[in-house]
Amino acid sequence: MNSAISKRQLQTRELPIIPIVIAQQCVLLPLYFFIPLWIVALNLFAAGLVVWSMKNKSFEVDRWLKLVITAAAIVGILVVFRKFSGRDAGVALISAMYGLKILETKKLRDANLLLSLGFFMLVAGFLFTQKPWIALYQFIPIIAILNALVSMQSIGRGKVVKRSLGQVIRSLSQYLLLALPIMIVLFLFFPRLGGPIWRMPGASTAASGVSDSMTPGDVSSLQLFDKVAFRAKFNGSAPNEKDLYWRMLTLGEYDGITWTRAGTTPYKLPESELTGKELIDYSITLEATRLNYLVTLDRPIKAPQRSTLLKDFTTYTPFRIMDRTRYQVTSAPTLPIETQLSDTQRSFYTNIPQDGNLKTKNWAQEQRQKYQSDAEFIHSVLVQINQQEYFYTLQPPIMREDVVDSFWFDYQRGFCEHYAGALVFIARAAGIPARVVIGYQGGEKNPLSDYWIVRYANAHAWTEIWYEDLGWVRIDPTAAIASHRVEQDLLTDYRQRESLFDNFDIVDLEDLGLFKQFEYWMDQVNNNWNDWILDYNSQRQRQLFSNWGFSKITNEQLIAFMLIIVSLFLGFISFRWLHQKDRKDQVARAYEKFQSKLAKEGLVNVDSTTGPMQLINQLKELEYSALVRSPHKSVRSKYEQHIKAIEAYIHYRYQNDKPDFKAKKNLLLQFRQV
Amino acid sequence: MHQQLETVVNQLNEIILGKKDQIKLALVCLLAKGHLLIEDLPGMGKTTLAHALAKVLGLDFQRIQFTSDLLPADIIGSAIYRRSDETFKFHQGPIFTQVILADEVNRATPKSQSALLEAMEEYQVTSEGVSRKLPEPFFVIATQNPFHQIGTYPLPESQLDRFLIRISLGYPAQEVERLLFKGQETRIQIEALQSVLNAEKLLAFQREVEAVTVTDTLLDYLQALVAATRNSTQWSHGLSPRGGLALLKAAKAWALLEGRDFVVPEDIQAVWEPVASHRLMNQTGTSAAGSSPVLAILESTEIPR
Repeated sequence: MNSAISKRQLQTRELPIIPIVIAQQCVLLPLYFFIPLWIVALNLFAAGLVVWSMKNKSFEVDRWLKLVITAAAIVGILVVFRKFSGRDAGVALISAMYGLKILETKKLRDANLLLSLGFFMLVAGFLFTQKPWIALYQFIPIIAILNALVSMQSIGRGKVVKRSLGQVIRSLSQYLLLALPIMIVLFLFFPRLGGPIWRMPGASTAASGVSDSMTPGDVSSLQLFDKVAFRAKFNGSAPNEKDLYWRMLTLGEYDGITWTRAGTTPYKLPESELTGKELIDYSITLEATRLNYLVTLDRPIKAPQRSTLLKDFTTYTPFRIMDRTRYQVTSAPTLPIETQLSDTQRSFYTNIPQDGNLKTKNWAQEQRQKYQSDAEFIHSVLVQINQQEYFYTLQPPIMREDVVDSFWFDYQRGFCEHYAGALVFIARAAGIPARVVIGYQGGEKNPLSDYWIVRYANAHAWTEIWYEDLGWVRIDPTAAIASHRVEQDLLTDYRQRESLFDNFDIVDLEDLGLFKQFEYWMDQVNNNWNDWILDYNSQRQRQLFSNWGFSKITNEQLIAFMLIIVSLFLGFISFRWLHQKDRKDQVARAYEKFQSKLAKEGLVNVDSTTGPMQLINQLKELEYSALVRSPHKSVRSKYEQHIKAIEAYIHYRYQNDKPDFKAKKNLLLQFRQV
Repeated sequence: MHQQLETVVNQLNEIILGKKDQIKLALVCLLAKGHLLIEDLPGMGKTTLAHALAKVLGLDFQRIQFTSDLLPADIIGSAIYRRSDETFKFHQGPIFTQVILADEVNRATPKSQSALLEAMEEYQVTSEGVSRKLPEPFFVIATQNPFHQIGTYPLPESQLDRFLIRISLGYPAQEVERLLFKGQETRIQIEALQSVLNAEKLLAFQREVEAVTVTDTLLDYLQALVAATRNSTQWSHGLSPRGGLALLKAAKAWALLEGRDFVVPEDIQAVWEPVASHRLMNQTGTSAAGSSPVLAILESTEIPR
């Protein structure tokens, strides 16, 4: 046959439009959630038009109409976004063009291009979200594209065997399975860049939770954010939930309204101070905060790599945390800090603005006189919080001037920031060095795994009061509020602050509702995904290879390794494939196994030239002579079963050429039973 | 339908004792629209088989004894001048029948042989420039004596190829021969036979044979067998494509006789030797019936799964 002619014939043959459109729309589907609705409508319109014109042969989309639609889409995007660059505009443009491409898919070549482009388009979805679910979803468009490619291959092959969806998916999954080892090798070996390949302009990650300053009073209502702030995994046993004070920032400077941090003196803890202290090893996976500080369990003894431990026990990084970051830290909760304070520092930590909040200032100084020591005085303040009508609420009234005064004397209601701010102010007014610490408190343990989830809702502020010889001591004034004065809906939310009032046990899995269990499960999947896939950066790559004994591997070596492994694998697969003709199919193998089993039992005498009919005859003779000897029903049924299986094989193999999947399945089952 | 074929085989079995396979092969040959060559000594029951077959199938039967002075006209017939209306009128020869036994076909001259062979191939005869159709079905059973070659004209290989199947009846087994001696005269038995089929039904069966399924794996097997004969050094040349086709047809007919509408490997194996051996020539002539090298091919060729 002349191949040139056949090719031309192929080109003019009907393309499998429906599978192509399905593949294309599957690829576009996740993007539809992120691009303007009118582009979605345009794409669906184009797909519908093509399907319709396939059904109505006479109808053909005019060349000029196509041009107009395409031009309109480009202009539309330019009008909406005012540019083509950037993530949103770029993806909108490419998805519009990809969607409209179907209009001019006439030849085999066009369809091939469209489908191959689909593999590239899949990546666009990851620009918007990198959750595991979208990665999982991508298998659907991949299968759809493969399906379309396969149906294109069968153009002009005459009759195509109709197969059910399950069969199609099963056979295509086999191709994917072949690609899986290559995928893993590429993932492991391909040299990682230091940071993300590009940073998308205008794709900001809203960071909330803890900010780098604190202004009690200007917030009238605090939202409880369910979003995860970070996850922590303890190497040994975890401390009690009520002891989980996650330190982030120390705020020492107060201008009457806002608490801000001061001082950037690096600090190196003397080794000698650690002797006999309980040490806790853990790793933290911090979500993007857009701040320069790391979260650590109170009190860190050494800063993680590429960060500095400051004297106020803030862990500072020179770069902002823009991506999920993972680090190892060790903390010593009982570590005393700064048992001696210089005069300058003393005056710094007792400094309050001269004017404003006079009522509190005077009250504090008066009260201090009544007690012998600083500790007793602070205790009395906590007792006052506990005994008097102080309320814990997330919707405090707005306090504009003399915030401490109006909180302490007038309203007596607020949340952690108000209490911490007030206590530090009172302590300072009484001449006791004090400072505010902000971070997170508590967290929830994922009962399905061994890590802790800390959310924005766990954000907290507490105080550190300096006592002679003891150094900075953590005092949490919020914990002093009597539990009946905490807003009811906060108490019922088990996550909120409960550890300060009562020592709740860690959540029992059996008590959890199904939904909660599902949530934990989701978070675990998410966490593993982050851990193993998204956070696989060049550092972890190096670490992995050094674990395998390749310390100091270069990128060139990685690529060489990768190429060698992939080409070996491809060589192996193609070798197998080339020799596939010699290989027998499943049924043949099962039959041969069955045959040799019968031969082994001494029932039959077979070689490669023994046909199935002969086998049946041999068995029938055996059955006959066995029945003559002892006419038992079991004897008959044994042979009968064998004979039935062979008969089924004969019908499957010789009755027709069309593969009958149901019969095949039954047959394999029959052979297995024997 | 199949029941009737079984009855045919059983009835023939009662007349030609102990030759079930040969009877079946003869029937296969008929069902596959082929012609049968029986290589045997006189008195082995060739005529009886032919006669009984015709009778059971309800077909016309004629017999020609081939001799060295047999002329084509003796087979085909000739135009004879009729004085009454002063014209030549064609008188049909014995070949105008449905089953014809050409006894000792190698005794006649090649000219006479070729007259028979034209009829076998073309299903028509030509006399005086006029072609005349033969009745349907048309089935030739030729016999030849392989051992007395003096004064004979052995069929050349090209003509042997025209016979679909070659069988040999051979001596009967002792017990069987005993029964033969004890029983009635075969001629009377044949007279008493009830015909099971008729020409029309037989034609229907022939059409059914054509519709029998052969899967690709079996075609692989068939081709492997044919290729094996071509690669072997036993014979001067292997099976021709016509030989392969003959094998396919015979296997299909055998399958139908076994009551199936699809071929299994055993069908090919069953017809292999009778179809192949007379087409394979060694240095001294054609292979004898039941020849071991031909069967050895079967032993050495794997059945594709």
